[in-house]
Amino acid sequence: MHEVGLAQETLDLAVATATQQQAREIRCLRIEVGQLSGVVVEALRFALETLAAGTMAAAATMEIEEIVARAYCVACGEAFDAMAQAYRCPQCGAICPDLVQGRELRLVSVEVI
Amino acid sequence: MCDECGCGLTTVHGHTHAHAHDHTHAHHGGTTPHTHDDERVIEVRQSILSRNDRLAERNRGMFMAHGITAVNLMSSPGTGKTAWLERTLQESLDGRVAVVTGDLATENDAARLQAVGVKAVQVTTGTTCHLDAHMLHHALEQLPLAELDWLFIENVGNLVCPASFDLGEQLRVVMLSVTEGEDKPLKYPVIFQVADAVLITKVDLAEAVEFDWERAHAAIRQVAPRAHIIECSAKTGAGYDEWRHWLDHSGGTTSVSS
Repeated sequence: MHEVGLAQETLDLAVATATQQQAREIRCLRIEVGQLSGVVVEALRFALETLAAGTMAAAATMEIEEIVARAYCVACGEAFDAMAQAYRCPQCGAICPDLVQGRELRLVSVEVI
Repeated sequence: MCDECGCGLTTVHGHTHAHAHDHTHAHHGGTTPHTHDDERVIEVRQSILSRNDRLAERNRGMFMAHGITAVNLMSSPGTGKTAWLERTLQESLDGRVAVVTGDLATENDAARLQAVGVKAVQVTTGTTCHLDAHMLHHALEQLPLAELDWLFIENVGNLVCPASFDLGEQLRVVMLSVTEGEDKPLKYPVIFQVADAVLITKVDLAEAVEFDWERAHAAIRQVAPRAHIIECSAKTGAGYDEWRHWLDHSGGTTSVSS
């Protein structure tokens, strides 16, 4: 449900960046969404496309990359798929709740003309 | 295929160039000339939540400056956040406490909490499904921060969205009632993952609903291995002492006085 607010924040950031660079139009927004960010990618895409109408990003492609949640085991020095392994290190079996990635919610870049 | 105009050529146009350039497409044989002027990629690499996070830092600074421990309570609707707060506030905390409570509509929760003699500010979020740092900031303006040691933030009943929004709180508590099902943490891992404590509420009903304690604990452990688990009941007061002890010893800047 909060994807609409986040989509608006994303567009505001993209438009502000593009305007600052004296661009006329945004062609593409590249966004990273972590598996544990709490954001549903399809809902975010829908909100972005809807809210972009009438802005300089109206015709922009929304490229959204999902980032798998990975936890890190300090003892083994290995990162692993946190959700698939339920935070349990596949090497030593220790529970490792520290994530090295998977909570991202980031505007990576905008492609403009 | 040409990404830009679908003309079928494998030529990659300079649309990832960081520098400005102008060129016309010669490969269309002049039938559909157009220019790709000044295409470029601007690196942003900024969190979409950066505005919220900045405001959350400001709230955190205000809490630290006033020596306030802020506790964010999150759960689905009907888990018993307000009832547990009523119990907490009636039993102790010495009056140096306030509550900010969020709901889509009505001032009912604030009224309930004011009835037990506590300062309570209701934030009605309209259609918004969570509290964010900005809403909390304005709620704080209505509270005498210098007179507080504790602030409880009763988030909007929702197990999805509140997880994404840092409010500047020190402690995050996620609640789960025995009537909701033991596997709730597995279904909503994002919110349970951020919990410092998980409260299993309405334990007085556990027998009636044949609550499987082992499964519930295993599910919480799986997604929130570090969270402290407290079994409680606002009705009987079960778990209250453990809750207070946990509040006292979990990074709070002041201790709970009775």
